[in-house]
Amino acid sequence: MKKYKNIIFTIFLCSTFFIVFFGGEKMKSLGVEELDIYAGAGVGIDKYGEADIKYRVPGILNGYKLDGSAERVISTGVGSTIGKTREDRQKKIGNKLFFGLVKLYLIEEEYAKFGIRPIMDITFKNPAVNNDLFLVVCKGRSEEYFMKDISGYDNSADYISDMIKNSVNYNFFKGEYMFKNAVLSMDAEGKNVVSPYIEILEDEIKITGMGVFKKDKLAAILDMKDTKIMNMLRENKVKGILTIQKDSKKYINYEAESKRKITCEKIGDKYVFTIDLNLKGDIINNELYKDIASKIEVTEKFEEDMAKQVKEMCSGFLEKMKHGYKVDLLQLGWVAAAKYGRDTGVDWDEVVSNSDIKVNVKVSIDSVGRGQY
Amino acid sequence: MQIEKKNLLTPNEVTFILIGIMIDVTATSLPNGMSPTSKQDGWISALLGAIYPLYIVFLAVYVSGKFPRENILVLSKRYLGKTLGNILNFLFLLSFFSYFPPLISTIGIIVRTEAIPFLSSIKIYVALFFIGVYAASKGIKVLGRLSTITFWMIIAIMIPTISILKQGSYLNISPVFGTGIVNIIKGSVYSAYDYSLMELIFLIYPFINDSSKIKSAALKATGFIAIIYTWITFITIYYMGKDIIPKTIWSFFTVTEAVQIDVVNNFRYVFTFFWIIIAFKSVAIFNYVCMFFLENFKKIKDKKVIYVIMSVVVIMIAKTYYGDRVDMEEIIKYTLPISVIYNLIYLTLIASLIWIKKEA
Amino acid sequence: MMGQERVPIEEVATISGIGYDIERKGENMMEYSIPISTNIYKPSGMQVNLIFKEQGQSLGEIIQKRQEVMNKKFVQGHERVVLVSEDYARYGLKTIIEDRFRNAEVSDIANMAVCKGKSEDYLKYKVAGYSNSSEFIQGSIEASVNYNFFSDNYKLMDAFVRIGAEGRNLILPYIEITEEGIEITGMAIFKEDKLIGLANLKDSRILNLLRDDNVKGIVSLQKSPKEYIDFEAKTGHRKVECYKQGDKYGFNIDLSLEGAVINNEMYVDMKKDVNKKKEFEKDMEESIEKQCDDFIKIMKNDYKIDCLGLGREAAAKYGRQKGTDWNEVVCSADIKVNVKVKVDLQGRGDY
Repeated sequence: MKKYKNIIFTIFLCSTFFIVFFGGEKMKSLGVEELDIYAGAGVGIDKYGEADIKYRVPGILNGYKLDGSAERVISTGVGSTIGKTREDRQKKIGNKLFFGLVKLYLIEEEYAKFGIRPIMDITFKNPAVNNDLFLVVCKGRSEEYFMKDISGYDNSADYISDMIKNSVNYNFFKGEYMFKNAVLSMDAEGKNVVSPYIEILEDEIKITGMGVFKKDKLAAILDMKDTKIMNMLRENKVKGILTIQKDSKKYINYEAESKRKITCEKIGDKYVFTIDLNLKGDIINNELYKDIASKIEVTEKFEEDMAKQVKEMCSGFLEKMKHGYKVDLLQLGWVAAAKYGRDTGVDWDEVVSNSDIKVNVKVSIDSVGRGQY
Repeated sequence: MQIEKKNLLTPNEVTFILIGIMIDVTATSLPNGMSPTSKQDGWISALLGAIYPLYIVFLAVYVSGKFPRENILVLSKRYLGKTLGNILNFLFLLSFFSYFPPLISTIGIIVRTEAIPFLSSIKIYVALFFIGVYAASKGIKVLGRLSTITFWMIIAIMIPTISILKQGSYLNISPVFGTGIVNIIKGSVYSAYDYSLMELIFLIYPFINDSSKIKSAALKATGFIAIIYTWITFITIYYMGKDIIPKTIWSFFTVTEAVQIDVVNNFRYVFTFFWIIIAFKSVAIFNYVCMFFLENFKKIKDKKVIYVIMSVVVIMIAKTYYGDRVDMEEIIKYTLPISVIYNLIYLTLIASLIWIKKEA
Repeated sequence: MMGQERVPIEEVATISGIGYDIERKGENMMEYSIPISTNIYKPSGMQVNLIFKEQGQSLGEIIQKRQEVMNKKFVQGHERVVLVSEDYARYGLKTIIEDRFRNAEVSDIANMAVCKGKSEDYLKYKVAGYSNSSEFIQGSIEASVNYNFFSDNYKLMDAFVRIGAEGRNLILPYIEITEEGIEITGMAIFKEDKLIGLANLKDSRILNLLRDDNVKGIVSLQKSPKEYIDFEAKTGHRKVECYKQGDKYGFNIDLSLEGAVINNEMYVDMKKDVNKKKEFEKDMEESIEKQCDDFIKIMKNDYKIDCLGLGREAAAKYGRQKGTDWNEVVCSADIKVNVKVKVDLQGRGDY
């Protein structure tokens, strides 16, 4: 009897195993050839009157033909919700759509001003989407950027993401302009999202500034000059080139890495922020300071002059920030909240615009190249 | 249950089993529970929450010191009479059982949300039970070994998250103590779910091969869990900040996504895989303990059949009542306080009776 | 495969897509045209995509002509797609089915679709990223099951089975060439073997939802452009209860949808608050029920046929082949739809 029990038991187990794992729904796991893998997606809106707005999501992918050649394909989904754009897209393409390897979201300026919360939510909910995708704001329609063919690249989405990755070498860009960075900044007290802003100039795609968000809406677009200073003041350990120029032939280029420290004090009702900037770098081009390599007085004069110039640039920028943009572009609110308390109902943009912001700059030279020409 | 000396647990194995009983994948949402109340000081709340298992350990050390080879079920019958003892023991079983369905439901939801969406929850449950029951039927020594392996897996999961210190900021945890002592203490209540089940030490301590080591084993376990929970909460707040934590369901998962290891493309899949193995361990322990309880009421001849019935019952409860997360939280809102309070009363009662009778 | 000589693949042409076009040339004269898209493998390995078109006044005539013109051996059985022009579909599919099934080597799992205009235009169309358009069209129909509640019952075999069966009818995807390329824009609805109506995509989604089991799509509720919720759902098994009151029939259709919320900007705290979740489920159920009711009205008044296979359910209960016109019966019946919505997963959080 015991033997029978064992056999029946084993049969029961085996059949359960098979029914559960091989029965039920067929789990189709698709190979790469059966998926349309998008490299980049644009997000824009089309307005058809006051209340009627449709989301337009162009996607760019590489279609590989049977003979191995690649062709860039753009397909667009339109709908009143972003989910509906997927349904619209699926009936126009020959494979199952797949956004898990998207490198880039090109957010059209108009949509950025409207509020990007829906695209943030749908991407956030989906673990299959790559968190390291770049968020970039573009002027005009994203299709224009996708339709550009760039030599050396399969499609422009690859090119734009490389461009952003390489931007960290200049203009003090931090490079943390990815979806996961936006998730951490958008709704955090005292923080905000910044995204590189691109345009098509002279038939080329170029970074021309930065877009700054207030919560989920685009609040300001800074030009390259302001962007450079904002980056220097906002980020820590970033690289860029600073120049003192007397005329077209007399100038000096200084490639530096900046370290910045922010401290916050509250005096009565007013907040006082002190930003300490420490620049350290190399002279890469010198047509202005004779004997900078040999005479210590010249070196020190340069360091003093550069510090003074940087401080002036910063002061000018800060005035613009407080009275022009009226947005806390430097995330000073984050520092203040960490010291003086959170969720106090304070509007940090307002507080920072009315605060005292002091900048102290220190410049030092590591090397002056191999000599002077 | 008489077991030969060589099948008893070493103190390390006891430590690992106690750790294994308490820690499972719900720990990834530990920061979420405390965030609304304790905000940026949630990690302090997580540390304070260790008082609950510490108290249990304190009682257990006392009781096991007096009766090193007899577990709480036997003792309750002795001090309260067979009938009352059995009833209270049964309620103790129920209180412990209430953690079982949410455990498998949670691992099911996490696997399907984070890794493989097209897998049905039934398949996950059945897989868990096939392996869990098999491991449980092999005895406590095997569970000890399984817990040892999962202990090292937990370490393997935690260590890479240290690199997140580079990506977060101390600003996110400041101002420290800014939320006030009252809120921090209130927040620590939300860690009760993850710190619970240390009560099972009262069933485990007879299995140790050297009874004098119970105290150190239990304290090591509590200490380890407290450190892990505090770290999980700390690094999550440090990286995400208190404003973003409520947007997630399992905030620690989001933290692990930020981990960048050169060889591994996406740490999230490795992480999910480890948690699945850890879930097997939890299911095995639960199955073993349930069987242990049942055997205490009545000797069971055909364990296999009972295991199958138990599996089916748990799976069905999980599917029906704990199917999705919101429903699950609704039920736990009530069952958790009842379980914790009952356990505390039950254990304190018996420990007190032992103390009183000894003094008399 | 008996009597087939084996020929190396470099020397054969495989048919990738077949089209059926028709033109009325007179009172009783129809001119048929069967364009064929083929892949020819050359010894150098290169693929050449050729379109052969034959015209004639009977299908048999054309097939004969076709065989004369082709100087390479025709390998059948690899066709991916059978495209029927709208005109031909209105004329009737019987002749096509006969042609296809006359030959044992024909692929009966080729996808079928109805196209607006001439099928030749579609077979010739150059789709970016694809070697030939038939590959694209087949891929498109197969991939369509991921959304819009499309089923995978649009194969030649399905046409064969559904045209003759009692209480069932055939529907096929309807494709058009738009400014974005070849696109599925709706469904073609057949009565017996003749096309009698076209449903736009909005109606097609509900038609599919009511008709088939285990289909997937996205359903949404929207309050304003930024406040909406997208629910990616899958239907289970459709339950139809059929009853009779005197001469009148009644049908209760029970649908259940289960799935994941993929975008939520409308029901705040749905991941924590049970009541909010139940509120969403109820709102969603009402919305889908209303969309179903609206479609059923269209079905009864515009198409005037049973496109939901309800006749089949009634025949199973009350008897088959009693001469009942199920289209009439269903269109004058009481049809009630009950929907049950269950939220299973909600993603990793809410932003």
